[in-house]
Amino acid sequence: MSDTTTITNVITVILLLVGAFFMLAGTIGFVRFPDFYSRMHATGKCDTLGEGLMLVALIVYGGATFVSVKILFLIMFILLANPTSTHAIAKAAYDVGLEPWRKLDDRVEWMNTGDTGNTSNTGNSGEGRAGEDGEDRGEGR
Amino acid sequence: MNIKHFIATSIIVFAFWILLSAHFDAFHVGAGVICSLIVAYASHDLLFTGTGNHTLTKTVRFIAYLPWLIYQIVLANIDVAKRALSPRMPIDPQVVTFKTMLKSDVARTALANSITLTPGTVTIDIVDDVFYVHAIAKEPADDLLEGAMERRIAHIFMED
Repeated sequence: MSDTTTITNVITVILLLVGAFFMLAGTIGFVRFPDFYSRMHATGKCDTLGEGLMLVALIVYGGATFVSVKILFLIMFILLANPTSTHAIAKAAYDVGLEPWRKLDDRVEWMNTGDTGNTSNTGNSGEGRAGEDGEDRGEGR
Repeated sequence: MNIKHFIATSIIVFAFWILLSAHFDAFHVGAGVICSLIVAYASHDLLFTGTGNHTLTKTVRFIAYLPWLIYQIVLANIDVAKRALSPRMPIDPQVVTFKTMLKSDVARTALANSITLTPGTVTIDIVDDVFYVHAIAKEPADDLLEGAMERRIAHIFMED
């Protein structure tokens, strides 16, 4: 009896630690990535698996109870809601006209063509600001 | 009002009530029955739209799709964690577009959410049948354009 308890506890701890690792990696990615869209990658993905693993750990720890069923439903809702909200936020940013950050050489090219083409001014200035931010980070590493 | 859909919805809603309440005395079960009937009356045409066919096959195929999706989610997380923690931070974000062959809203939603959950790609927008996808680097974008996931979704919803 105590053997099974030990095994359950070990599995729970491992799942919790792996989940916490992914949450940590997602948060570090959120801080380090250069622009809005790439930060969406970090938060939208790592949260899903991190939270999922932690909730599975709770199910393993709690055993087959009604609470476990509720946690199972929570996991399903997170699986549905997380990508949907990520998509909604990304779409809002895209509709406002936020340009995705590119690597340095690509961005210079894009800005030159943008100047000659003389298209939307707001888009260019937005790109410039996002770009400088990214450039600082890039050189710092 | 379709009486079969109404009864099926009531039963499903009531089963959900039992799962969440976990009380079996007369008061809770009776309240559950009444609430289930009211909710089922209000929303019986939402769960079973009556327009689709082969619902059972689609459900079974979707459940069979889930393990692969979870495997992809794990890969996605390892991928993002690697990129976030690597000192050189190997990212090269880009927006790619592709035309989808999927017709129904459910299938497109499933594809959009699957893209967001899998390695290095986030769906930004769907305009008519064109997907706008933000990719964190070149390899995930190429993998996506290769189209394996779209074929799986098309298989589930019988649009291939």
